[in-house]
Amino acid sequence: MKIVMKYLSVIFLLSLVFTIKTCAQIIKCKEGSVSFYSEAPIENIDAISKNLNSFINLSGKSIAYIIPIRTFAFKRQLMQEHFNEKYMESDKYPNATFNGIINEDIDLTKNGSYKVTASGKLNIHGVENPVTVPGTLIVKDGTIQITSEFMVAIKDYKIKIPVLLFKNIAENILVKINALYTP
Amino acid sequence: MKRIIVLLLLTQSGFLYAQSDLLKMLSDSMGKAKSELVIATFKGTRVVSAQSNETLKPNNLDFRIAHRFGNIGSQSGGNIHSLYGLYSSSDIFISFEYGISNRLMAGFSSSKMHEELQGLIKYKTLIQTTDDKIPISVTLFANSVITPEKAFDIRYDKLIYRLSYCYQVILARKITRDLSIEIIPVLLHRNFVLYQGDENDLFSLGAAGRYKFSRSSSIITEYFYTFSKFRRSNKETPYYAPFSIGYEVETGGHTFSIMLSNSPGILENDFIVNTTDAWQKGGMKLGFSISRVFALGDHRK
Repeated sequence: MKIVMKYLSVIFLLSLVFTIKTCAQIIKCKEGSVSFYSEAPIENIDAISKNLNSFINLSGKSIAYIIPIRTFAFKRQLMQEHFNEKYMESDKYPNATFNGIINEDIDLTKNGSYKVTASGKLNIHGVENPVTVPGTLIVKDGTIQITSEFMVAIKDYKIKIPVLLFKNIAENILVKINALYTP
Repeated sequence: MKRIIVLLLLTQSGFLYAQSDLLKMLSDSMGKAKSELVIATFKGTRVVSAQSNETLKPNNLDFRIAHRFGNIGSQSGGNIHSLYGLYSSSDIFISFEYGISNRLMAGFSSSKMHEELQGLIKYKTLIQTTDDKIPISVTLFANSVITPEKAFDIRYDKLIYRLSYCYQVILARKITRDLSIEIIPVLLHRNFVLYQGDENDLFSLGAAGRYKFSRSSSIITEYFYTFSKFRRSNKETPYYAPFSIGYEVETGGHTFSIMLSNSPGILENDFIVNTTDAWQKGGMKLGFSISRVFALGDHRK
């Protein structure tokens, strides 16, 4: 029994060390924003959220994002209400998420500016699609700045726009992400 | 021993976790979802004619036209010659209302029925939250109404006789994403009443609701009961509780509703207490209302 105890304690201590190590490799986004823009004949639609939550794992190069839909601010508050209530149904699907990995073979601990792509699952309005998005990644003394721009087709995420409003809302939305990670 | 195993399992699982699902880890680090204010309990500032708990968004101007036709049923004078009320209009209501802040709005309206000119103010004191810490929304409403109409009796001998005031406490709850209801205690004060025995102060209780059956369309309904001895015991011209039911559709900035109601008036100072038409006698009328919201300014700045 005593031997078993000892053995277990060693494993326990080892695992503790590993856990600490893994944690240290994950850094958090301290300052981030996500905005989207769509040009439309009657009125351009743009909104921004400064509530971008993200983790990046330096060793595995995996990356995750969560954006609460309710935090998008619109120029027109009525539009914001319709966005939440009718289109994004944010009471049912409160967050947009991305879970993926950086494809390129780069060292995230070395200073430099890298053009990268990330592949993973993008979940908006409760619908998940595999995507690959381009981005720029700047590593500087342990901090990482990521900027990315990509298009989202709203029909891929089952966001229904009434026929009457079709001219008011574009089918493709330009999404911009800006995130600063500091350890 | 047991404790060690538990600890071991915990740390091991944490270890696996970090490796396999960064998203799950991120989600856990954010904690429980923040409580939010409930939005869109009702589509507009009115249910049918009754006030909803909603106020206008800041810097939004709402232009509203409401119309009530004449009686449909033959027992109440409706027939083919009036096209079942469509050739007559019992009331026309026109208003401009403006959102001052997130919670406060004010407005002005005029009505055809007694030429009433209304100044109104509405304030959201409480807003329901998603975690039910605040289970209901409470909105206060007050108006002052003056009528410039001519009368051939004593009712407007003094200017002050032309005034009336209505106060409401609107208690609303969005029960599900589609179903919202509200209870409205109403106090109406009229400076002058024409008939002997009629009360200057009247207390009424209203209920209203909407059921959203598609993203933009709802069924709306409301009912008011007035506690009045005069109304209960008046055999010559019986008073009835106004009951309305309608269909409402919203298309980004426009709200359109079409309703059936036994009240000829649209303004609260009139329709809640002065409805003398009855559904059971064919006294229901068709009506509609159109609201157009103009968003002025950028609320983020």
